[in-house]
Amino acid sequence: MIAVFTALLAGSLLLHPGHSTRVELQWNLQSERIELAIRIDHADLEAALRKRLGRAVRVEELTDEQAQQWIAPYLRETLRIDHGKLAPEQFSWIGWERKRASSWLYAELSPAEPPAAELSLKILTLLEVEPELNHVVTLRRGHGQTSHVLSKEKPVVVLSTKPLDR
Amino acid sequence: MLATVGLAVAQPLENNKYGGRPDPFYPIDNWLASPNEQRTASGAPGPRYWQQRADYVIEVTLDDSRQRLTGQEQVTYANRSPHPLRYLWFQLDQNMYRPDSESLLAARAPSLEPRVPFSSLRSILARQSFPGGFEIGSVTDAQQQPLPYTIVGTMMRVDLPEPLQPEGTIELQIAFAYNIVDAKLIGGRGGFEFFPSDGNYIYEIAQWYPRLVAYTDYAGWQHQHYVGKGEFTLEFGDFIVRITAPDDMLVAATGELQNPQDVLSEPQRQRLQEAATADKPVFIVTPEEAEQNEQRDRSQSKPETNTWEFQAENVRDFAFAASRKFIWDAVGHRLGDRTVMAMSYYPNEAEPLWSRYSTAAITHTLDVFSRFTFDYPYPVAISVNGPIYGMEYPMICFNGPRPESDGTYSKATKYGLISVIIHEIGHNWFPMIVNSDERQWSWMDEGLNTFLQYLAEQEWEEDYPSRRGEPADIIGFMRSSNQRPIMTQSESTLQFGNNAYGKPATALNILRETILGRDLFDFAFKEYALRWRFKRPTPEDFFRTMSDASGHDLDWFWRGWFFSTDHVDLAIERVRLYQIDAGDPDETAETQRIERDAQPKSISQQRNAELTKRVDLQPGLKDFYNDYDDLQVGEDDRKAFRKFVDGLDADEQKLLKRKSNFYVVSFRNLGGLISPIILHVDYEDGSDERLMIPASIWNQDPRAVDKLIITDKTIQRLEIDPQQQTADVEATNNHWPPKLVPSRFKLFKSEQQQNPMQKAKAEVTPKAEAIGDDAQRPADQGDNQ
Repeated sequence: MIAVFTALLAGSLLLHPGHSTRVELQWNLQSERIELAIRIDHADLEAALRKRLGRAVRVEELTDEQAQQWIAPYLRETLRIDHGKLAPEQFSWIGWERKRASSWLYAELSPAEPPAAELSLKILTLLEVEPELNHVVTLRRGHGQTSHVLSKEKPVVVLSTKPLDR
Repeated sequence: MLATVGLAVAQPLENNKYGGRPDPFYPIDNWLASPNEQRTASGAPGPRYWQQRADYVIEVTLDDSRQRLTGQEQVTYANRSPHPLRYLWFQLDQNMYRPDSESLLAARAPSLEPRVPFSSLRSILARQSFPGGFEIGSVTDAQQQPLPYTIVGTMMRVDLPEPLQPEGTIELQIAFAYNIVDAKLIGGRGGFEFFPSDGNYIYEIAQWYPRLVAYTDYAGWQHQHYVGKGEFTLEFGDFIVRITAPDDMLVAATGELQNPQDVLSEPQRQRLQEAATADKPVFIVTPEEAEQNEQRDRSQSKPETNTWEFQAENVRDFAFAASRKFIWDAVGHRLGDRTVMAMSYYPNEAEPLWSRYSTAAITHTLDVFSRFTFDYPYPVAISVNGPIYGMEYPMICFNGPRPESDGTYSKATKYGLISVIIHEIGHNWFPMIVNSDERQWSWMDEGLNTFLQYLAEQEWEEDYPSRRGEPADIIGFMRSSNQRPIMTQSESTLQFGNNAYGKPATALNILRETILGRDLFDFAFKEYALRWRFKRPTPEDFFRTMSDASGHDLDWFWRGWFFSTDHVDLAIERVRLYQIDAGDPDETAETQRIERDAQPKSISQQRNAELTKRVDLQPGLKDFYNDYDDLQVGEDDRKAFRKFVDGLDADEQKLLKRKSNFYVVSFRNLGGLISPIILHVDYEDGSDERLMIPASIWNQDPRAVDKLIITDKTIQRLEIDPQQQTADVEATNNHWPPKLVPSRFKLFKSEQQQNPMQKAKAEVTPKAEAIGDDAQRPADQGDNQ
């Protein structure tokens, strides 16, 4: 049954577009928050908002207030810290930058509990409309960066919350 | 075959006397098939190049009441290989929808969390119960004698009574049928879409008849089964296809309609004639007529049918579409001394977007792609709207984007439609005519086609929102883990869109804009297309032709971009300044005196300056050394210098007086991928220049290199790749003096925290004043997607 399910997802994949987002993450030691920037193609974002809101949304026409009203809750509900959903107070919408065919969304995320040495961030954004989508994540820590490719099968990235050794 | 060769054999033997450093300039010949009489070392077809041929005559009936296709094909296969063939293989791609298909059995388990949407559940149930796959009624020879056949997954072997000898031909007939898949529900490259509002269907029929498998000089029979991603390669041939469908349906297909008098009304034929010479698309079937057609009473038990006959020459496949819902527009597009009929078929649900852009996107693609390759050779080019988002076949392609139900559409939908049509029409060149094997190498058509798509998009309008092609847009992927090289078999490719489409397209753009230049690249690329049109190229043929025709050894480029997962990350490690010391003792003393005086006083020295000193209270304590200047020049030194200068000839004396600065800039290659170094130099006098250092600077040491810059000016700062031409993934190390580049998040947040007056002030700050500002630019600035 699971194999069938996978094949069906693969079936929708037969089409030409390959979907991916670009994500930049950093744990802010001072604020004890995850700083998140995610770039999403407008077509994918519109598909997700259409599914969520039950009507068409034109991203290029959204005001900043509408983006905060519609995109921010969607983003919050598709993220998990340590597998837990984010309560509204754990999510701060910083804003968005609209480009020609995609937008960067910015948010700060707070763990529910004081963070342990590591915490996990699960990114489910867009996977409900593009199951084969990849989140290409750049994780910044100090001056170093590591990269991770997340998918529906492996949607989790782990962040260290410890200060770097000097 | 190439994919099985690992990077471990990049060099013949491990070299322990060079620190284990790789040699990215080592020729890639040992990864490529040896040139031979079929494929030459220049990348051109050889004197004994051959390819098979398959001509088809097919009768097929579309059963609209059961969404089923029934057909009979007669195929004439010509063996132009030098080998006798005991059997023939056919592709049965519809078998992918059998419940026991490899694509299902070998599917990987997904995460079913956090929940499975209803639409996915419906798909699961539909797929489980769908009776898909070919039903083969019979396989016979020309005398109607049955031939034994064996079905193996998505292929079928037909055993011949006697080997088919070289230069021989054989005629076979195959009866087949299958149930058409609901493409909206289950997906696929062809299928139907049902419209509950009016009870009609749109059929997009592809990979629908038993197709002869390609038999090649490099792989024999192409025996990779159809499991999803890898599309197909086939033999060229001529087709006559007779499609029987309900008489109120419009049929669009590969090829030219042979019997318009039987299937089109008189007004439709007249409009079609007008369209051939019109300046803009003409409705052959208007939106109103399509609406009336889809609302016709279809309650009669046995509807009348029409048989549409199409003929197509020198194509590698045949596809068609049928529906009562189709609007049809067309325009004759002049291409050289020929007219190509550019045509679009779409339902009212696709309006007004499609009548505005579809056919226009077709003609634009015909112009741009023809210019970069060769003139489009076929008589028609068709775009159809239906359930398939984007899929190409010869002369016809299926494209999905539609506006909202109220007729409005977003910018993303508009450009999504134009882009997908450019892409799918563009596939006529790669791989429909330049017949690469996309089941083996997706990049050979998707990558090349996406590259030309990018060029065509940029000629559509200024700042067209292309999703792929710009180096800055591939940075995230290039840096990412979980990659395989471009040279990976289609089904094994990871991050398919970025790998098979984005990365090769970007690599070619970089090769064009930064490494070869437009003239050389365009000549070589066109040469590849000309050499291999209606032939079957392999990656070797592409790599070799591009080098051969551009006059550049590009092995290092193919190695890095196509065979490795390295990325570009160049860094400025340090800068050293050297100046000519002429040896003039007075000049030397003066320079040293200035340097000494410029040394800052320590805090203790500063504070001690006011203290009364013992030697001032007791001057007798002072001696020779209290007034001695250790930089004082003696007469002996001057005499020695004059003697030295007098011994030089005039040229040497001139060199000695030169006041140039000799900067040695140390670069590091941190990403591994070889790249030219594009270096922007700002001088203290306000001037600047751009240095293009060829990639060959890395050929002695691919990890670190020094470059000498000689100038009479003083360098103020350096920056690598300021226009983001090379997909350098890390901007923080591209600067000298070093520059802290904040995260995109921090940059955005800091901008948000400024009030409008602060922002306005920041925007008018002169560039020179901004120098040294740590927060000038994010790591991936220039990404204006």
